[in-house]
Amino acid sequence: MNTTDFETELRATLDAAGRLAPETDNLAERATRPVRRRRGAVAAGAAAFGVLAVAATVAVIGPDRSGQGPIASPQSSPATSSTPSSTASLPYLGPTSTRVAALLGSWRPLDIPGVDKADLAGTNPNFPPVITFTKKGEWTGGDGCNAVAGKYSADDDGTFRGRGGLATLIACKRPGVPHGDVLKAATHFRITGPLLTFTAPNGRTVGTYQRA
Amino acid sequence: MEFDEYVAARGRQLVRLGYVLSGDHYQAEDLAQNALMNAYRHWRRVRRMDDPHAYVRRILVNAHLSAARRGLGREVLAGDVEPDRQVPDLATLLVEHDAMWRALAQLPPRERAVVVLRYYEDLDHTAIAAALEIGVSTARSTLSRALATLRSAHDSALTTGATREHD
Repeated sequence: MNTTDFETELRATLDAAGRLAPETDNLAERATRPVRRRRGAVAAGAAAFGVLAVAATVAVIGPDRSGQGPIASPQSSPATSSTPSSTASLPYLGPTSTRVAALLGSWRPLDIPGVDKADLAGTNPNFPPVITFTKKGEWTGGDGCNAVAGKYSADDDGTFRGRGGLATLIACKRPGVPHGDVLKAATHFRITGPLLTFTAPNGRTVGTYQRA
Repeated sequence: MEFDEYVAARGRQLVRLGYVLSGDHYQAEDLAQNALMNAYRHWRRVRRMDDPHAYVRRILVNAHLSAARRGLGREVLAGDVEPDRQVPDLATLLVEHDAMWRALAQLPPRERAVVVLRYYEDLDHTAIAAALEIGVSTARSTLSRALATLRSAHDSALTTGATREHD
């Protein structure tokens, strides 16, 4: 391959890779949220200080006896404060996608109801418990003990149908990850950040995976 | 330019750059978001620069390299790539550009960054040097070395037929 062809192939590969980058919404909001929260916290801190100052003043001076009404109660706060949310914020994983293109690639099991977490790690290094969805409608990988493979179909509305199972029959000390059972039971999928969730018709989660 | 305007114009490009550098969706978003957070904090100064995007890109690239040096990134592509290991989300690449992508996977992080800045971001040696905070001659020699390694690895991948087709 001459230099020009090589560089052309290199550019094409990088360009193709770039097109596989995640679709990310609200970047500006996500980039500014921590700063705005800090500014809100500073304002709230100032408000709290103001409240304490008023309370201290009341404590020192005593209740207003002039008949003009009570001094501002400790419960009031300056109108200019912005109270930050009191709830602990969950980590933002990103937008949820049901695009098939986002399903393509490799996934590692994070949680499968009824399956011991220890069994998700796998014991056979030749077949780590990672499955890969290809654009040809096939899934392959390992269950931590054996090779696994199968077929699937999915649509951009999140519907999913899968089948398949063991491709080898190696005996292992611990059971393999039941990828086939998960995919067979799943009728829908969704992807949020690095997490892939399969659900059954009743909405029950049958398996949660993380990008490998 | 307001910050929101900049993000609307360049945000997607930053995520793509993060992905091409790291090969990881999660890291790509992280790199872009953190670079933008940094830029936002100093936006009054950044917006007055000749090229604000060059500043943000430099932050992103150096954050990626720092993480790679500390081993914090999920460097699934480092060292010998096992034939059965598959790079995340590269089903399409594996079909059409498998050999080149596997070759890129074997480059050290800095060399890969230089290649990406040259052939994905289309930067010249001076701009590459500025982005990586190195000398121009160092950028040039790093790129030359990276291309030699890449060509060798690419030719080797083609010869051994290391693909992931499952027919």
